[in-house]
Amino acid sequence: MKKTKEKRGILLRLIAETSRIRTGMAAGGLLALFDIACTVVAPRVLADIMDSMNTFWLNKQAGLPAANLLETVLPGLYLLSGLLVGSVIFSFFRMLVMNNVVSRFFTCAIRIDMSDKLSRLPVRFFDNTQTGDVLEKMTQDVSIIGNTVHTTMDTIIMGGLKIIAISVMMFLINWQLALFVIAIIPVSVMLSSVMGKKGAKYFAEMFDTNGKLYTHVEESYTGYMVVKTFNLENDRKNTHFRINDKMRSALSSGVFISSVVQPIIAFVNSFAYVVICLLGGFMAMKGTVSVGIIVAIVLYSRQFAGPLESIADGIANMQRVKAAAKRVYGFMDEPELSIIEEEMPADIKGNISFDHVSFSYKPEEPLIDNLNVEIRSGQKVAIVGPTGAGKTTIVNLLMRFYDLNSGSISIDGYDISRYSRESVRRLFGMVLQDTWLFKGTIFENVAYGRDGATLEDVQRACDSAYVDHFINTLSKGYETEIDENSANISSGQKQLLTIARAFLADRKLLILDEATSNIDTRTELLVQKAMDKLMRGRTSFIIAHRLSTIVNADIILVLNKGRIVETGTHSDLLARGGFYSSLYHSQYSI
Amino acid sequence: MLKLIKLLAPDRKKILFAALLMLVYALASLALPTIMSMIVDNGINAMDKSYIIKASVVMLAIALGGLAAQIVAAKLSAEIATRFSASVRSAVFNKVMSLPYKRINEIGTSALLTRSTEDVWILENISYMIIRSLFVIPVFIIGGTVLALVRDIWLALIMFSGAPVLIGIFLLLSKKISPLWEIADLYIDKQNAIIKERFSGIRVIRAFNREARERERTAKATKTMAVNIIRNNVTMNSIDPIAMLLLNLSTVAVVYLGARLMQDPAKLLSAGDVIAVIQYITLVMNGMMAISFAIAFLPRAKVNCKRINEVLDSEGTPEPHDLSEPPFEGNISFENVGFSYPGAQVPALAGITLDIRKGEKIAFIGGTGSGKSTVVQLLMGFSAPTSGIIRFDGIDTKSVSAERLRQNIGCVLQKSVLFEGTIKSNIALARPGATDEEIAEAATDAGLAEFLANGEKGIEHEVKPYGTNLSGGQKQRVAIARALLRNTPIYIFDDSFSALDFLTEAKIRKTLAGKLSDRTQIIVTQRITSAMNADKIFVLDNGRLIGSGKHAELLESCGVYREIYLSQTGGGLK
Repeated sequence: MKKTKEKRGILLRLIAETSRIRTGMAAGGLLALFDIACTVVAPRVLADIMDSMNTFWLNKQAGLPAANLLETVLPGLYLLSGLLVGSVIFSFFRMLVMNNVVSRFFTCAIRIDMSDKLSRLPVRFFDNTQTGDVLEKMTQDVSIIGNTVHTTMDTIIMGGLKIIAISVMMFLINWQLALFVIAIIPVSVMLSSVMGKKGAKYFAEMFDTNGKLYTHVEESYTGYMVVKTFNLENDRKNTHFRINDKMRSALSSGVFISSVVQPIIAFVNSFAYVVICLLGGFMAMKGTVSVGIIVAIVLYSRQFAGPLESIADGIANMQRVKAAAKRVYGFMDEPELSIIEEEMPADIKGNISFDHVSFSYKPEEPLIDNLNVEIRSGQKVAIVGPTGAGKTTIVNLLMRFYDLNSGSISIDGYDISRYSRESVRRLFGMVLQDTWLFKGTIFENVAYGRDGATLEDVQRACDSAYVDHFINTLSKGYETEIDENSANISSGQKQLLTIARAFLADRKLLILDEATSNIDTRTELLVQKAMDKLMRGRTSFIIAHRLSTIVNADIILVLNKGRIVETGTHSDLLARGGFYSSLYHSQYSI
Repeated sequence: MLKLIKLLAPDRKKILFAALLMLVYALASLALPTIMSMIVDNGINAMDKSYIIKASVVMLAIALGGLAAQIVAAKLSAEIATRFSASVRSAVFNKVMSLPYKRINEIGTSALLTRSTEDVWILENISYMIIRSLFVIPVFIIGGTVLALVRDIWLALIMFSGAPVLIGIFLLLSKKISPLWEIADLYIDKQNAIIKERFSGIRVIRAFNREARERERTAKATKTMAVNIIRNNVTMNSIDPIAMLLLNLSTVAVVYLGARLMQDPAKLLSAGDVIAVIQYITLVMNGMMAISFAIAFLPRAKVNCKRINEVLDSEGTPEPHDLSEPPFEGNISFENVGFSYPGAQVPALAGITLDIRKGEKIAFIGGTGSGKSTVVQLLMGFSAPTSGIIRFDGIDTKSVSAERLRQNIGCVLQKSVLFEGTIKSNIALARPGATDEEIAEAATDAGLAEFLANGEKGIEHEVKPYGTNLSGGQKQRVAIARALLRNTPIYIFDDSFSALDFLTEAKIRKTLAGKLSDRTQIIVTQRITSAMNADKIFVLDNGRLIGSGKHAELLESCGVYREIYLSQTGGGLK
């Protein structure tokens, strides 16, 4: 009960959504009306022409004097061409209007709404969601919704009107034949929908196996080295053959069934055709209908089947749209960040205190429990722990990417949760290990650190980060295009660029994440020098891997399995003989 | 393309039969309007009731025959086309599995993937289309024309005059459409790339308060994308109205000409004839559309076939014949070994001479680009040295198959790739026929015990495709377990502890030291702490061996080693 209500809710919401393009839809509808009028009247006109021709022919054969045939049919012929050409023109313009309206003002607007929504979502959402999911919603699902507007317009509205118009025309011409056509044609539509469903079952199976096959092939190729290392070639081949064969048989059945649908419909149409000829023939002999009328009814019966089929398709499509709309609205209804207007003062000294801080990502797994730390302006805080210990949690809390469960973090006594996120973040410079560079020039990437930075500002920052020299060796210098996967720049140099970004931002507080690997030794030395320089005079939090950083820190926070297990200075912690000291010894004395 | 079509050879008879059936169908379709016009002329106009009944029965029989022919033909073509694509798919996959490493890198994994999946799909669609339409369409066109000609040559000509225009327009549009699709795809990719960046950089974006800029960037891309999609759709959807227009114009022309001809006292054209020709127009035009469609597809099919053939024509590695030879003892020597990648200016390895004895624990250390990975490639037989000789127990590797080398080496690769299945199946693949106890032991030795004890299913813990549901450290430990299960005289650990924390690494290394004390162990790493306790350390820099010895010796004698050491420890270590 609740489920159907929910589904109806989604459809209603979707219909409400189309109010964005009310005018455009109305214009499209009007053009559709003209189109239908032309299409439906044409066979009737043709019927009269045919009758004139047949009468002329009968007279000619009987040797009776005949009027000028051309003169008789010419007015009808003009009308016919007008109607036929008119219908094509109207349908072309309807297509043009609808395409523009839907893509420009409907799907595009929904996509932009979704993009704006992203900006209002908490970091938690980004951490827990696959990018692919959102992309699929933004591209595929919105496309499905957009296509539905097209098909609804084309099939349900246009098709429905057409069916009514054709029925009316047929009844006006000859009610017996009309009744027959209306009775028989839906049979073909029903048959095709039954077959379609059966075919869909096989296609679903095929898609499923195809997915498995794709995974198998991709695994085998990306894991080529492993396959070879363990001589698994035959094993992989056999599995491939098995899945491939399963897919082949499902596909074969699916293709067969779906390609039988069309002939069956064609046969039912042919059957109708024969019966119209037979009945119409008898009636014609009695003189109740003319030959032209038979031709007209044949043409109408053909026009009748098309819209019925597409309505059936359109209704089947509704299921897909509901699913797509549900996903899109699911995203649009994600809880957003609360908005706080009040701003943190920009001029701070940089004393930070953690006061009874408790935090967890999931309620059942408490991570930080009642943490109390005082950090004075200019101090260095090293965050240490094994891989996967949750060292980024502290960053998440300081930058307000996540909110605390209880307790407070304050900067110079100002509780950061009471001020706008933007104003808190404006106090921090940040260099993460995952150097994030977007597609753009080096200049743009570094200038990201500060609004309205000039080339001189950027150059100065890059110089401080020891990367200016390298940039100048590139043929395009600061205008070199880079992105996340750029091959023309090493991971160490990427690090340096993000450090330059932090120099440019020039914030009182600093968060640094030391890279663990994949930097060649010489660049590594530069990175260290740059980081040391950056830390000067700033209160710094460092996710530390290097021993020297750790030893020289004013305070060490030791994490294990997401929890802060110890705090203190290097010598304090060593003397304590706890987790830190075992970590230290395991790392440096195997 | 011909080469692939040969794969259809076993189904030759079936194809012929299917084509024959489609022919029957085409003739049946043409017969119906013909008979109808006969009903008009000889039945209605002649007031012959029994003629109408007879003709109707014949029409129904023909329609039924056409249906039956179509159904059987559909069954046959579905079978032929799917079997064809399945055999191409198998052939491509099997070929790739036997390709040498060099060739794999030349073509590239993602290109191979496309060739084994998407390209075959396109081929499947095309083959189905061709089987179904190749013989039918000419029949429609020729048959329709002949039937019209019988009635009047001028009517036939009029009917045909629209066809070339239609084909021309269709080809023109289809040529325009495929680049348009590429452009549209490009813009979709652009929008998606921005969204991807917004995900991967969420922390940086928020840290610098740049959401507004990202929103604008996305909106701009989305709008450009919309414009391109419209251009595309409009071009594509124009085909229908244009075809309709031509069809309608031909109809009007036939009626007009019919009226003119009928007026000519010398002509015997009837109203029934005109009615029949009007109906042939539709059949002929549909045939023309189908042909243009097939023609538009052909260049694409050609590209697909070429790509697939590029894989199939590659030389595979020969079957090994030395797999039953006894295992190696574990002595390895390099004599002036060098290796260059094809086309590279600088060799990846040059002049490497070294000696590894059975049971020694060796470390190769060096930064990115030092040639460490190339050493592993050579040892595993993925590549052969371009100069010099590598010997296992004194035997030149040139005379040994790569498979035999791999049989003797338990190797933990840099990238631990897991396959869909369970932890157990991923370990067990290293040695078919290993007992449950042996598998469990290997898992424990690799430090998986704690992880397995926590889960409900233990060692049957599910592994999703590509091992996405496991962390880097967990994957690495499974990879270690599987190498251990292999039980070989030589072990290679290529950067195999990088995702493990120091505590776990220490624990596993301790176990390994005990279990593998009599085996040759080769550790390849850039982490100083992983290398420093080896019996012998080889330092590689820019493809050259620039130092060898124990930790303490190298600190004294090798500048690069000292530099690596200082950069990683900050000098805090004694």
